[in-house]
Amino acid sequence: MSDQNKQSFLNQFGADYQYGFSDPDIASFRAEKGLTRDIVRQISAFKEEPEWMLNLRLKAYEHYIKRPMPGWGPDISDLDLNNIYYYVRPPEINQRSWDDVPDTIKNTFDKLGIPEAEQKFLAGVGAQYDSEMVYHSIQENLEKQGVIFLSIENGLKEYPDLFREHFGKVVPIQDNKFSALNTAVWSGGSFVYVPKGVKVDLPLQAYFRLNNPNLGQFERTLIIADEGSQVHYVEGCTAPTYTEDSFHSGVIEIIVKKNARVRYSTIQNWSTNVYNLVTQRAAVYENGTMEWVDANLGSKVTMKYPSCYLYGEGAHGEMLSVAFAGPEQIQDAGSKMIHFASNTSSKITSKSISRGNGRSSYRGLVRVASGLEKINSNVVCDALLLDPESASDTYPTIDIRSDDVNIGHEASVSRIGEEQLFYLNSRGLTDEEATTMIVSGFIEPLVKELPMEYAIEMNRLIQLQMIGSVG
Amino acid sequence: MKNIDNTKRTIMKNLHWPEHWQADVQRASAWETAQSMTFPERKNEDWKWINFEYLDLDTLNVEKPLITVLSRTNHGISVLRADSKENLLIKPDVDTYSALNAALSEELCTIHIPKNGQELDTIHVTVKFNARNTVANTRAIIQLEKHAQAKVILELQTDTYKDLQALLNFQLEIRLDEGARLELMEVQNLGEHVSYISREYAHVHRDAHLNWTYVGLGSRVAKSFITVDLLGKGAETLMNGVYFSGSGQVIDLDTQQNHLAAQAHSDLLYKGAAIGNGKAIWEGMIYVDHIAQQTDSYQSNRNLILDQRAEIKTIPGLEINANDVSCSHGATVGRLNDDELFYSQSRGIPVREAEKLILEGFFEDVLKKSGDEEMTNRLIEQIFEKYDRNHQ
Amino acid sequence: MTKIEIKDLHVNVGDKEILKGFNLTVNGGEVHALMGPNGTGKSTLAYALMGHPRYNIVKGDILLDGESILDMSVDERSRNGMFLAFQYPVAIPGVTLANFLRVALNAKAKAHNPDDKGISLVNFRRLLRSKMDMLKMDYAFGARYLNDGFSGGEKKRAEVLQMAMLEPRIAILDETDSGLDIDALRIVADGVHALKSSELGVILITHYQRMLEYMNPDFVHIMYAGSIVESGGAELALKLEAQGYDWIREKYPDTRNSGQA
Repeated sequence: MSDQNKQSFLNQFGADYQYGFSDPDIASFRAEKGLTRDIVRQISAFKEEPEWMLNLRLKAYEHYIKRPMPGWGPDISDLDLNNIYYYVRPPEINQRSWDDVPDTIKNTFDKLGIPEAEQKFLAGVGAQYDSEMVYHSIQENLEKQGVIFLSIENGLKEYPDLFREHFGKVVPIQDNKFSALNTAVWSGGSFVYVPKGVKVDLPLQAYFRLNNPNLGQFERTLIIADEGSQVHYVEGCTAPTYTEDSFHSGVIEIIVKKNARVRYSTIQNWSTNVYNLVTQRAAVYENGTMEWVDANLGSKVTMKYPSCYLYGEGAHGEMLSVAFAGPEQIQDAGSKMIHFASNTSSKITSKSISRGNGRSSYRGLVRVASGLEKINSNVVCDALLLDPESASDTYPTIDIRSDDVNIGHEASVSRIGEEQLFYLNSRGLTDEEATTMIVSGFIEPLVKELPMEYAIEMNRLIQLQMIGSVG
Repeated sequence: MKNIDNTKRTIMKNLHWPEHWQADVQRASAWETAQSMTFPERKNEDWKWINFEYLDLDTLNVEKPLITVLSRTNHGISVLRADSKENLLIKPDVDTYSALNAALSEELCTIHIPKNGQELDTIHVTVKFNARNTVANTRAIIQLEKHAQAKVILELQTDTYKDLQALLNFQLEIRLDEGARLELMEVQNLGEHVSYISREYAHVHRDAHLNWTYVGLGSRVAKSFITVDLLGKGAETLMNGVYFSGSGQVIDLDTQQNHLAAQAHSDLLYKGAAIGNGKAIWEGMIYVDHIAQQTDSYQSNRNLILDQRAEIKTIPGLEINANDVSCSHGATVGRLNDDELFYSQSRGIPVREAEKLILEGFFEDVLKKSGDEEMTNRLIEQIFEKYDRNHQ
Repeated sequence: MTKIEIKDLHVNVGDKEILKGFNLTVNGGEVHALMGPNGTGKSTLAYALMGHPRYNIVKGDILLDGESILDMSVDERSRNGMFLAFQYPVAIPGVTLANFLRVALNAKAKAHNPDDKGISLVNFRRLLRSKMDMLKMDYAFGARYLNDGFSGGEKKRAEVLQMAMLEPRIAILDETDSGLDIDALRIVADGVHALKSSELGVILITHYQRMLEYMNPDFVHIMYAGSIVESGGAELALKLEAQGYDWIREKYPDTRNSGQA
């Protein structure tokens, strides 16, 4: 591609992002920019929270203030934490029905295809607009079986004991600066409980939409899969394209009890002005299985390392991730697998693609505590670089303190081979079609793990990312 | 063992500035730098796994090492040149140790092979330190001019003195000019009371070839930074390593393969093992500059963990800024293969012997790279001896 | 009527001249066998015809139906009816053979008519199965990743399947017979044979007589040191089978020194 073509392409890049539209501001309340103790109190008051939650928020706030910014990873010094709205409340809403959602917001979710998807292939849907959930609903038969799928606020109201027992236990305040921030100002997200032995066949989906510029979204999700249960939770995210930065910093806590199985899939497609700094962690007990499926396509900078703490014998953790760093994007993603029990296993498969001056990094940790037996862990990272400006890093750490282990890590970096391109050209495919096909093939192992509807969406998003990639 | 907080302190009491170096501007400036710095702390990324905080620096006296050069022809070698005016590759201001080294080090040897020169025999340099409550700052320099060739074995040794301590601050600088070829085997065989820090740095220019084998067996805590800069088209390095950490030991190796020019090749294989409560750490990085197209680079770290109390860390890394590259890395941690053990036992070999046999097989391909059979055997004997000692 | 004319073609790879004035005309309906010892430039010809960037045409021309294709990109050549069955097809992990073929077919249809919506899934499947039947291929083949983990014989069969699907006008088969056992060879040869038509011209690059028994070539050419040195009918192939290439080397000693490719 000539430099001129490339430049004109880069200029258009945001234009290809089809979720970049924004709505007029219909907020019913907006906290001052920046974060103070009073704003934390305000948020808690709006949510009519019990005392203990307010105290927890304030404690987290103190920790957040004290804690320095991370001394590693991508440069996020441009993120001005004082220029962020920490709480923007959409109009008062009854979350049970789309009919009650204000037209502006409903139209947005219609455009994103959410209500249609709910009818077709989902067991339940939650939708968050700026700081609050505006819709949350689950199929009646699941509700009858005792499955709880509520906004996190209603979870706290309706199931205070269950909530308090687990909230902040998997990701404590002290974990990192942004989890402390989230605990101080959390708003929105889901509360999920799947009772013993109940298997939820269709996915539950939560959809996150940022509308206002300079907004911080701090959703908090707590998923409890009781013994022998099974659930698949999917989150999707988009935002309008603004020149000013927005900020998303969620915390996801998952408890996978004995013999339970949870899959958490993310299709992250924030516009390229969003900083996405997320903490996702699962505590996995005896013979439980936790699977993360993580696709990072959007955002300006993503820092995200979903982890499994394998506490029970026979527990298994798995991570399947794909990252696409287009022009000006940094995808710093990976996973942590911490083995605390014998007979546990983990597997990480990471695929990344960098294009333009995009940079994707795999950052991971496999740790085996001392005194354990029969530990298996395998990590495979493949990176594909599409042009001379793109970059890729791999930073795994493997820390082993038991001797009965079998630990492997492999990583490779490559570009699209000239011979592959020629072969596809010789069958009539243009360079762009050929490159897109090779990229689709490269991420196929991840895509085939997604339910069909998401797989189609994923392939479409990749194609969008690839437009103009070859001149 | 008491922990003494040296980190907040500058250099130790007993170090003084020798008068005969007064006129040496480089040393004087390094001495000043050393005095202005504190010792590295754990929050420093390079020192996050180990530190010398147990070391009571004030009890140490400065020592000069004893050097033996075993080589029939030592043409091109000069020993103990304390007044080298060569520009150092390792800058004095990296940390307190590099500053101290630049200010105070006595050169062990400078191996300098002139243009087109060939040393057919292996140059075998053994350096013995007294290491009884001493600190030694020392350095070796290997320079091969255009198309020169050499084989070098460099051994660092001390006896072990149980209740004493010692610090060895070592630097190794290698410069290979266009088309030069060096085979280097470096054996760190210090007593298990010695704390060891080394910075080792090679510049490999166009079409030059560096085959560098590192063997780390001794010391109480060893920290080595091993860096190769590939600076010209066709430059190549093969980096091999063996390290074996037993009870009370920590061996922490940092390797860096820097591709700073196009069409260079690097291939690293480090093999580590830990037994007893020994700790072995390897952290490696392949860095590919944006101009280093057609880079071909590999990195592999294989580990055996031989005891429930042992600890292994492996941290391979890639930082790739060019796209037309072939780069990969792999790391494994495992224990001795049960099938191999069973097979050996079924042939009548007792389990302990079978384990040693497998251990030997694990390390052998790297160890025999010296081409010196006597030395390979000696190293294997040492590994066996450590295995037995830690297996009580 | 299809016609490809290769005129005084000189091709370099790097600094080295491999083809040194190669001439050949192939009409629709004709099968030309191109034989010759290793390293005489047969595969170079195949790659150059298809437009591989590493094969640099320094002189001469390639005309397809009277028009030069030298300025066409590889994919344009393909969509204009050129087809190369590779000696060593590359793998594209993650992309199924079926999906690949559908994209290729649609790319071709779209090039001819920008409004073409592409072949429907049902019709595509029907088409693919009929071609697979012809080549005695298991339908499950379509779901496998393109050439990924294929055996040698499977790769060759998949190449011929692609040829059958894309319906080229000029097909270059680069040692499609090598590495096949006799049963596989028969299937592949039958498949190619079935594709013969008055609209298809075939250049068959091979070392061996055995493929020719099935293909009945109209012309046999012997290539040596970068150009064709002998042309004839089936009898020429039989002579090679009986006598090997030594007589060629003796007859054209001058080209020998410069002809190491």
